[in-house]
Amino acid sequence: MNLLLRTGINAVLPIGILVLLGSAILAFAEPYQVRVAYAFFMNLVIAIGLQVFMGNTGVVSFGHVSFMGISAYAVSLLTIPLALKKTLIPKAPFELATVHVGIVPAIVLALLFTALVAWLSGMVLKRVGGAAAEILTLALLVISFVVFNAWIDLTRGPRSLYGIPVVSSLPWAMAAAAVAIFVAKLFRDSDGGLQLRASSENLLAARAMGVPVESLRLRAWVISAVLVGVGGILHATYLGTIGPNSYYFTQTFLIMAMVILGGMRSVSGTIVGTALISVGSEAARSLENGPVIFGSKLPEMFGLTGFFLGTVIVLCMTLRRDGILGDDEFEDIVRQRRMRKTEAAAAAGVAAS
Amino acid sequence: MNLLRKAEVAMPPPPAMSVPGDVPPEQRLLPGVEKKLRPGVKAGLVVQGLSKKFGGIYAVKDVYLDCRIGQIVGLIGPNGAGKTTMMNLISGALRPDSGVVFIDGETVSAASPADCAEAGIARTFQNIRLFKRMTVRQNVEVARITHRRVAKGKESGPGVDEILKLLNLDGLAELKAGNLPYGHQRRVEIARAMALSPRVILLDEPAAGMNEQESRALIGSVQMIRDRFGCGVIVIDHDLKFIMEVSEHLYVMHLGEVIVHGPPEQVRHDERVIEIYLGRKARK
Repeated sequence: MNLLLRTGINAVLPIGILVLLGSAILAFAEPYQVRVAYAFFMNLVIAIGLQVFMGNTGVVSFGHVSFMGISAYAVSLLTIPLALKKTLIPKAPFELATVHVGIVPAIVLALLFTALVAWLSGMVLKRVGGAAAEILTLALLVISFVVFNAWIDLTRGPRSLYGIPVVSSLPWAMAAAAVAIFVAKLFRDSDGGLQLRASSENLLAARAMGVPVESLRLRAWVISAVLVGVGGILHATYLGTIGPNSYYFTQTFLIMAMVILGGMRSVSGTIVGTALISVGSEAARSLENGPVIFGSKLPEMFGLTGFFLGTVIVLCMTLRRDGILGDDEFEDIVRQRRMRKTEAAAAAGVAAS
Repeated sequence: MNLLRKAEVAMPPPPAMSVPGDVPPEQRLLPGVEKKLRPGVKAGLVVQGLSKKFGGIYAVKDVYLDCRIGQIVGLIGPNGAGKTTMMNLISGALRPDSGVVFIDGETVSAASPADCAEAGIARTFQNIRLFKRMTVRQNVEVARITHRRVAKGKESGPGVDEILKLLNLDGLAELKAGNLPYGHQRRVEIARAMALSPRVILLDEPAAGMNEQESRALIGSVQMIRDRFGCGVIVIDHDLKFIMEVSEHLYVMHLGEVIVHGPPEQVRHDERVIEIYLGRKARK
């Protein structure tokens, strides 16, 4: 069967559920809940981007959030109105203070730039595997944070950039999530994706079967970086203001928890993980402020969200290392259930005769 | 190390038969093989003067070996003879210090494992290395993708479905490879290697852990592979009985060198082979 068609069929179920959910929120929910839903879809795009790399190569990446930052800053620097730019970053390098482009070309340029940075860093990363690669991704996160934070002329550092045109809304985030799911599933089931997953299970055997491990790793790295970059654009164009702290450990940890909890080797697992973590951390956040429940005032517990995420990762690593769904996509679960049913029916038939 | 040196000194000088180095490989076609080749085609695997040292000691020393299309060649020797090192050198997992590996007359030595796979050398592993979380079909598919890429639309040999059927795996195609029993896993490894449509397949101790009956069945499978896929087969094992039966030509390695090679019947009665397998006293 044609790969595109098959992926399309398999993606209908998760995308359909998400679109229904999003539409219901759009129709009935209050602005606060719409904001929460927006954050969910944005984080889903980023988590799925991370899954494309982690799930197929088996290499854990701490560095993907830097691609979120890179594309967010790129799109901001291209779209902030010139008048505002003159006061915000008058000494911007590369004549950036005098450049202004429309939102669509800005998004395209930002994603191209993100892909370029990913390709350059990927050239280094593809040669190393295992723990060395993971440390490298961590270094990437720190480097990008230092650049966002210290290159004051370009980014204004911790004082943050503002004035980015607020053009995004929930339907855009939903559309981006749908595209991300489709792309991730397409890559997973493609020839390259299958070979890459084989290399993550047994590198020696994969090489002996002619799998071009390095170039496939690079491909996964760039695709996942661009998807994460889309998440960064969703972030910047919804809030209208960005700062370096949005693209550092807190966000990294949040996304890691989502991918790991659901099962990093499965796109469906990432969707489940993102949903659970979003609900959970939203609940933890409401508890942080010390709400009144059944007439008794709970104490304020700042940092409860971080505690919740840490606990989830610890529990997941000890109890279910492969995550909730393990290797399986939704369609695999349906198929396995059907297989078991026919087997059971056959067994019953034998028993009856 | 001293032990090794002593053993080396104690070795009798190799007779003329086992020193094929001074004859060009093209002229060293084994009897009966020429008929299987089109005239002028140097089809199959030729290994010329392969050496590899680990920490100053030869693991493999100046080995000449060939395996033509349609031939089953055995490589045997006691533990530590250098069989698996040979396997790793031929399949690109190790780089030789010197020597050349040819496939169909083209050099492949000093290539990576992926290059070797593309050139037509497939292998199995002594300690099974399957993609355990994937289905049996996906395991085979991974190798087939490489073949499709290399063949550029001109696929040769049986396709994935047929390979699964040939190795009696068609009923297990959708099961995860890691959940299969040991014997089945060995068959999946062979199926995966065959999906490369290789010129030569290297089987690393395929009979390890099998009982008499299973290894007898394996002989049939190895011959089926040769006939059905039209490739050369190199079987490595230290089980004399199995390898005598399966192979048409036998190389005996000891301490990194090929000490004898020839048809199994001839090798069986060779004094040096008896000596390294049964000890010096057995000769008397």
